[in-house]
Amino acid sequence: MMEGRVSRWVQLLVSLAVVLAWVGVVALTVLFTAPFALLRGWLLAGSSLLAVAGLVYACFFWRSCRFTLTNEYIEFHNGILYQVSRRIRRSSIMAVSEIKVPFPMPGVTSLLVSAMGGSMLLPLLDAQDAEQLLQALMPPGQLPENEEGMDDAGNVV
Amino acid sequence: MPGMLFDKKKYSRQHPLAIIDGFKRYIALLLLPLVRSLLLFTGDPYTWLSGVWLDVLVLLAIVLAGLLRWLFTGLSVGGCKVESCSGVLIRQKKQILYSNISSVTVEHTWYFKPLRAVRVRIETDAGNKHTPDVKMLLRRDDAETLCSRLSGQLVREPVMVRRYEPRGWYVGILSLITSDSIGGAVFAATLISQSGKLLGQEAEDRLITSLTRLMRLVAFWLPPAAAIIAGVLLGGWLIDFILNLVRHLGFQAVRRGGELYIRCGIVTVREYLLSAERVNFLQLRQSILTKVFGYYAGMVSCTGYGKEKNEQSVLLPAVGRDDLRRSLSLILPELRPAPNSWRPPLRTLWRTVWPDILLNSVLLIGWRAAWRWLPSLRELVLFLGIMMVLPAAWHLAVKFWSFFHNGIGRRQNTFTFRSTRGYRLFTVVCRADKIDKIVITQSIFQRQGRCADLQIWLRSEKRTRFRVPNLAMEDIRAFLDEYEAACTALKDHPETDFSEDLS
Repeated sequence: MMEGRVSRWVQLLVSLAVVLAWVGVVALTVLFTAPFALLRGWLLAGSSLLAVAGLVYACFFWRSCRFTLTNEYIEFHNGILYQVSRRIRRSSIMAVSEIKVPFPMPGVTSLLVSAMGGSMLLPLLDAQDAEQLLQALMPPGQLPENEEGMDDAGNVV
Repeated sequence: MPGMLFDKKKYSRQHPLAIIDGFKRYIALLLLPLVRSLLLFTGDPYTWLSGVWLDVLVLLAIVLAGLLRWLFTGLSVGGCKVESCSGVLIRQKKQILYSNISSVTVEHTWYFKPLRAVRVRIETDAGNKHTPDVKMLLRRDDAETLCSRLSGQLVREPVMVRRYEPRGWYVGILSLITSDSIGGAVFAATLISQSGKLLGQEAEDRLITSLTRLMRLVAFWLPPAAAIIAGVLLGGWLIDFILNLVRHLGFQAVRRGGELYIRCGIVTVREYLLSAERVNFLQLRQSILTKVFGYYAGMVSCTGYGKEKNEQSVLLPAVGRDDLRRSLSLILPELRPAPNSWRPPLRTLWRTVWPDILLNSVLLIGWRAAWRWLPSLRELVLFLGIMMVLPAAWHLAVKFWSFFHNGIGRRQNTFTFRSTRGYRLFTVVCRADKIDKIVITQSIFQRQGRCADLQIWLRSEKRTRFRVPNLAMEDIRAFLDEYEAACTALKDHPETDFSEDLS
């Protein structure tokens, strides 16, 4: 059994989104609410409060994003207000794709676990965790090294 | 040159009709102007040819391309595998083991019947989900050889043959349930536009004028816009109903060991050979009306079956409650519905129906207000009100009913999921190992009620999921435990004996 969390990058990205949204709201408030000082004050205070709540939420959201790998299944759980838990049996897994993000995010890898009926994304994992998961889900011994084709009896040779 | 690329001893070629089959739409478009110009032939070939040389050249190029494709395409039916080769410039060879074949479809199109040509599609769980692994126009004898070889692999020892043939009016009920206005409207629109292309703009205009006149005559008491909407919906539904009826009349299903053979249609006959082991799940559909009368329509998911346009994966066109048990024991004893072991608790009833109650209330208030404030448009308000309130009220009835319908049951290593989508009630039966993904979602409000939604993603070509809402958390945990136990049991004993059911 293996348990783990996604990397801290999740918290950083959610926090960044919150800060950017807050900066946007503050900029709009400052630009367009000049004649209404009271409204401006309320908007600034309200948005700042929401931003702080968002930053706290980001911290808890990161803690909620965790995966579990057992001998039978792999599970990914996330969410605080709206919790989602996804589970795929290991016997159903057909492929595991390693996804690298297009901008530099050192030591981070995402895994896409695919079955015929659906797939599951394990986002922004620490490279070490991702490697361990890959090793466990796709052990090297199971991969055919030399796939030439089939003989007349239909066996892979 | 063809000899080098195509092994005549190993592969048998497609039916010669395949040369023009791939281009038949374009050929019709080219041939019609040619025939028309031939009818106006004055006796001078040079003058005639100078007018149509481009059409003739394009026609020859199309036939030449078809000929080349036919020369290099073939199918070899071996002892344990099927091999196909295709492509002129880029050669492609495919080898498929019989044990990996999910379904083989043989389509006897009505205009190919006198020439003994059939369309054949071979499907596996791998490959592109939109196109078959192998698709060819074969001679009927070659298709029969392929089917008998596959049959030999699926039925390894003498077994009893079990046949299910529904009554004609059961097929009528299926068409009634599955027909929709959009399918028929699309068919009618295609027919009108194609007739315009082939017979000219004048014929298309005349057809549209006649239809408009007919609409005015039939719906004289309705506003024009409402009459057109009602006409399109009703006409579309009627066309789709007739098409579905023609497609499914003569339906029969035969179970022989590991083989499930299905045949349907009276104009174009389709035969399907399914590997029973590769059937993913059974789906029973009901509407409120069919539930009241106790009828089910049974669909089956197996790669390749019901995949093509206008096809449906029917197993039981329509059956009564008693017939369902008997028919399933006969042709698919592995997948029989079990009664609900886990169902939404009564405390979640309000959670299920409140959005619909709110919608109905808003619509009724809005309707009443419009009726009062727009006295000059009362005819239109009445019509629109009925059109909006009726579906909403119907949906509320479905939701209310669904609360007592939804749930999960277990029979041996199969699970039965009962859920609702739109206006339909579904009962899905599948083996535990055909469940590929389980998603549990819980909102903050559900957490207070100690319940959650369970989504089941089933193994299928199309991503298929069913949602059983508002199950108690302890029931979900119990289901997950039983699911793991069933999967382990299937892993230890993959072959389950259904002889008891078959007898």
